[in-house]
Amino acid sequence: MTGTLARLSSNKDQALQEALGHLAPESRTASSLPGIEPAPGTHAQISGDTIVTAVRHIPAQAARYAPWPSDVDARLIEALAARGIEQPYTHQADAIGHALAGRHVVVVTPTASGKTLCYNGAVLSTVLREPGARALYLFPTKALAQDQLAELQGLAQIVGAAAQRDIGVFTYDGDTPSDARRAIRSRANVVLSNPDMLHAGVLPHHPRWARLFENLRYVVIDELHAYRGVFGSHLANVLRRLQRLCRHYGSNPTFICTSATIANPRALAEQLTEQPFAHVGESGAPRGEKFFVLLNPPVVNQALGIRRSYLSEARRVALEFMRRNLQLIVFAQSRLATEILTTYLKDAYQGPPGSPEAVRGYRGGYLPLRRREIERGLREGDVRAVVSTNALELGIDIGALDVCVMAGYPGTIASTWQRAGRAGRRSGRSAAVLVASSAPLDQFIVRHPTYFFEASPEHALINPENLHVLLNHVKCAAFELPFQEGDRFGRTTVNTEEILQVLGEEGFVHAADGQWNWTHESYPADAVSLRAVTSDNFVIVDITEGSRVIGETDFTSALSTLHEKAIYILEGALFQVERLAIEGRKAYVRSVECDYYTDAITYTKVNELEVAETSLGDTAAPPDEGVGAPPGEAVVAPRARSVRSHGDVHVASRVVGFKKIRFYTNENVGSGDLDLPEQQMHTTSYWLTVPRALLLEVPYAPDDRRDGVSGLANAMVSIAQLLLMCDRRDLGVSVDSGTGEAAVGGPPTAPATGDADAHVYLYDNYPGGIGFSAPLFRMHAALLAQTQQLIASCPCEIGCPSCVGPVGDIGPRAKRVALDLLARLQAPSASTADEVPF
Amino acid sequence: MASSSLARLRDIARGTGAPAAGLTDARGAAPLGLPPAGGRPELSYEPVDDDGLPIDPRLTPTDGLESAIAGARLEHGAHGPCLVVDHLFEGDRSHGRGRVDECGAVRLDDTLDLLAGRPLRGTPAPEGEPASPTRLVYFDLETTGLSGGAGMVAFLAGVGEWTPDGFRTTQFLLPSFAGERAMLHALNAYLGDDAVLVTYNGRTFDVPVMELRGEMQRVPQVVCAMPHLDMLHAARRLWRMSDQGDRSCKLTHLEESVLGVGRVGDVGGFEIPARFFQFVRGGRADLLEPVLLHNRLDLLSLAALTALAQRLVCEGRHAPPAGATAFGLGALYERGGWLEPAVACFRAAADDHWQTHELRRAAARSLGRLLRRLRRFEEAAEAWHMLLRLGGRPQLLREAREALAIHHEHRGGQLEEARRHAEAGVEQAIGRGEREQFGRRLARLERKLARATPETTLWSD
Repeated sequence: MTGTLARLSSNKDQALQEALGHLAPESRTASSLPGIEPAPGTHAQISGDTIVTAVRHIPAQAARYAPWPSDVDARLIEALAARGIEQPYTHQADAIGHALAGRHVVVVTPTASGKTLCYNGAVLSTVLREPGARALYLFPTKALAQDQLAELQGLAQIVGAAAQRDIGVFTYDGDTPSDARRAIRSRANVVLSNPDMLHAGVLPHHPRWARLFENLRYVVIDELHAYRGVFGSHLANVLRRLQRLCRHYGSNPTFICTSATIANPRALAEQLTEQPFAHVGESGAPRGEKFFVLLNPPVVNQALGIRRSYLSEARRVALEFMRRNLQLIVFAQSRLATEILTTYLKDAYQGPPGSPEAVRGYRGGYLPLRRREIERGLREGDVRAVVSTNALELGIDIGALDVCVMAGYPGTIASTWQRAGRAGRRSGRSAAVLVASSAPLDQFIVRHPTYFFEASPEHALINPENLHVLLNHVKCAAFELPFQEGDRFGRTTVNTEEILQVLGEEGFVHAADGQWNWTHESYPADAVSLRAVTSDNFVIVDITEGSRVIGETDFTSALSTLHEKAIYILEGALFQVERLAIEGRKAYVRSVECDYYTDAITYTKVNELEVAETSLGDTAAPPDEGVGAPPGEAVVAPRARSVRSHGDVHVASRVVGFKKIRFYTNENVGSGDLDLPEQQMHTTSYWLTVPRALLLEVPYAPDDRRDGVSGLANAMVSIAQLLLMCDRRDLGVSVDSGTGEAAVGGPPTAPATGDADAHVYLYDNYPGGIGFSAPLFRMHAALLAQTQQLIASCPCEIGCPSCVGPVGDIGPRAKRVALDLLARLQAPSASTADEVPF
Repeated sequence: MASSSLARLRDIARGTGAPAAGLTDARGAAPLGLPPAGGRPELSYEPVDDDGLPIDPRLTPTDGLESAIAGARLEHGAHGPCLVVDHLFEGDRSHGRGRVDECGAVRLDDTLDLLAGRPLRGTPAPEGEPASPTRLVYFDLETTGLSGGAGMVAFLAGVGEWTPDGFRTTQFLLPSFAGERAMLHALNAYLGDDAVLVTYNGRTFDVPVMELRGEMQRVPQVVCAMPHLDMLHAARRLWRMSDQGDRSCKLTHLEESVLGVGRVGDVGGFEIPARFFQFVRGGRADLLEPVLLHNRLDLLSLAALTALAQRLVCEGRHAPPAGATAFGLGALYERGGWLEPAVACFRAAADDHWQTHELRRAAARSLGRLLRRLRRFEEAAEAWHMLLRLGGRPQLLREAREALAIHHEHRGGQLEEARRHAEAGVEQAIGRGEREQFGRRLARLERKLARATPETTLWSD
């Protein structure tokens, strides 16, 4: 039996090896792929503009075990042994040890390393000792909680049977029937929920949960890295509220967090919970060897820098593996791309007639039953390939697959490793292939494999002091429990008394008898959505037949995606917006057949309100100066030419028109004007100032100078996204090319005459800001250096979508001017501003 | 700097600070009139005097409240003082079309159990003394909102009770947030352990609110453990279908249509929290007078309505009442297992030509179902026939068609008649499932008919 298994797995290894050898179509033999047998832990970079740009070999690692910590309950050890777990891995033992000793702990280990036992072990052991003990588990999504429920219930049953009592394990979320809620409140030892439910359903009703709060021993936060940006800023405040209530009920829970690999897991945990953490980072779990391949689709038009479609390339790669009977997961970057790739693979790979569907799609919007069926199919092996959005990136149990193909760079290093981790068995080989698209970030990654493989993953940034977020949570907290005079909300740096005073002026609270009581009829948690700064949204109403709501869009992006005549895409079906009711927050759409989509043209104007820090750009600093560098410590080179700043800004943006863009060819086939209201926001921004004198030094016409600044901005935002751990939508970009007028994505504005300094603003795309600006300010030097690297190493001649932007939009000399500007911005100036050659 | 951060906070708190929701007109003019997140304009609770000018809170000390409110006294308990307002509605005064002393006629007997849908007096213990309740207390809260949750406070708990002098109300008022524990203790002490609670919608609102407040202040509330008659459910059954009630059966609505009470200058429900907030922010105590009156009238109307409902139940068990109430009463009897009066009431309502077809149809259907349950099939068939005669939407009729098809096929043995109903059923069926169900029945009937009359088949060939 074991012999057969070994043979099977060695067959698999061979098939994988063969498939890898066929990834570069021009080389049909494995030997011509030099990277396939490099020394472990290194990667081979293939020079030139080849298809496979790098192969990294990650060696196998044997399991490392440790004895159970002494205070783990014996009945738990027995029950785990019955399930085949004789001994914990080192990281499990460490984590359980910390948690049982009451130290907050964050566990950072790869996918499938047995993270759940780290918290389940500590929780169940404690529940066995103290039958009244409670634990609260928080997962970023409902689906993850459901996924964990079965496993934990199974374990709790065995353990409970050994201890001859019931250990209650329940999920509590929006789907929980109301008649079950009372039972859960009184009986659950472990409640599995999500931050949204905690915020709106549990904390405001805390007296009903008195038993939970009085006996709360552990708070488990799974997938900690998911809580960054706005979501993380909200969670930090929800946890302030939670801990405030715990103090009221006399409990002091221990936090156990697990995270994927990010640069600052411990700092993030400490910022979210305001507690000191122990860090467990060495995984003791075994893993098989793995190959990580970076792949760039071939260029088909050198002049325009157009490459073969990355989706076609991803299809080809996926089929190489499927043909050899390897099970794989394909990650696509959008819902649309997911559907397209699913269709491609289904067309190309049809299993024997009557067999279950071998290729499946998977994304948000599928019904839960269908999702469960696909997950089961993957675990049992009936489903040979699944094409997914990031929905499968988090820890849903789909078993261990052979191969992961990423169609497009996931946007962050952390996310790329997380996705790659979905393939990989504890023994035997696996592979991950990243197929780059033509986006600047993708191109930077595949052309700089060393950067990708050596760089630390991104920092997860949050800003719990965002006033919009903070104010809302102080309201919720006042509703839950009166603030006593002199109370501080968590460890907020904002004066709590001042917030309460303002809330008092607005009639929300009232101070009397030494405390602030809630004096409003509303239920404040209802008005706060944790996933956005404001919960205001637009609904999309399909009026093709009757009228039904088919979707929703958050307020911020509504005007640019739901303006009249916009094409709205849902599951591949196209709709045209007929009317946008701004006051009623509705967009009425009708089903259409067309071959184009629309892209809004937005004018954005940034006004500086308050400069927090400003300094001459520091070119002397090492290029890898990161977030960790304390502000103001960098030595400022005396004659650096660029000026960096960050601070508060006012952003006004207006959608003035739209372009019609044909599918597949991306031709511009028409446009239209729009007259929509202006959107305003107060946020934080980093900005680069190009001094007027320097601008005038650039030996190009004013129009070209303007294009150059715009091109520079386009490339900078990609690199900024790389340096921060953020989504493209988190960061707004605006250019003021020295004319006092700022616009992005629109038709050319006035030429850069050099009447004023030019500015490139990279602002937090959320009211109040979410904490990107100060780090960007500190990473200024790296930002400019890598932007230069991105543009310079792009093989196109005059600019392309992979660097400064498409030539049609950005002008023919943008690339040259941008490079010229970058050189001048970074070089210590030889001449002074007086020596302008004009 | 500090003043600028305060200004910023103010902007955000007011929603004018140009957050994502900050939209201005395209021409950069004034912000569009967007509603705040709550959906309706928020009231301001700044205390003002009669001229609308702000009141300095220091001018109105909170002590001495008992003299500012008519009938108020300060009750000093072990947990602090509590403000209690006493009031008596004399028995010989009128309340709408009736008199206050009619409230005194409510008895704790099986008719009250019928209204509650459950035994209120508990099962009499065979030995020892049964802890049977002896009093009826009417209970109604005024709260600082309707949202629920820890931040919503019951600032006024009104209790009404019949005494030989008349209907006496005792209202427990929160003089400030800090006084909640004292108020909860005082309420517990007043209610005692020998009373039945009567509320209007108390099962879903008043009692859960008291439970939460009790948990919040760690003073378990006796109202949560008392036997409880929620009149809303009985009232819905009685008056929902009549022209006196409406679908929601709000107390103020029934009070007007059933009891004939017209309130003048009553404080609107939405205004109540605002008045309390204004009061705690230093406003005058007389702001609360209309709220106290509103609460008292609610209690009195609740008592009057309970008395009326009990009278209807008592009288109706011997002879069904005239009018629309008969149907509602039938539903009450049926729920309580008083089946003979229920049949009589349903029959009276179905036969009453003065009533709407809608009500008569509902009565005929209830009658048909009940008689079938009682195995009085012939009478049931008559009820179904009556339903067909009354006509209406197909959804209503197909139940009758099905019942009649079954009745004629299995009990009457009249296959032709059964087929007639099954055919009509196929036509009136909605959705494939139903159509198939009738279709199968029809096919079976056709087979039975073919077997029963072979010569007809031959002959027609």
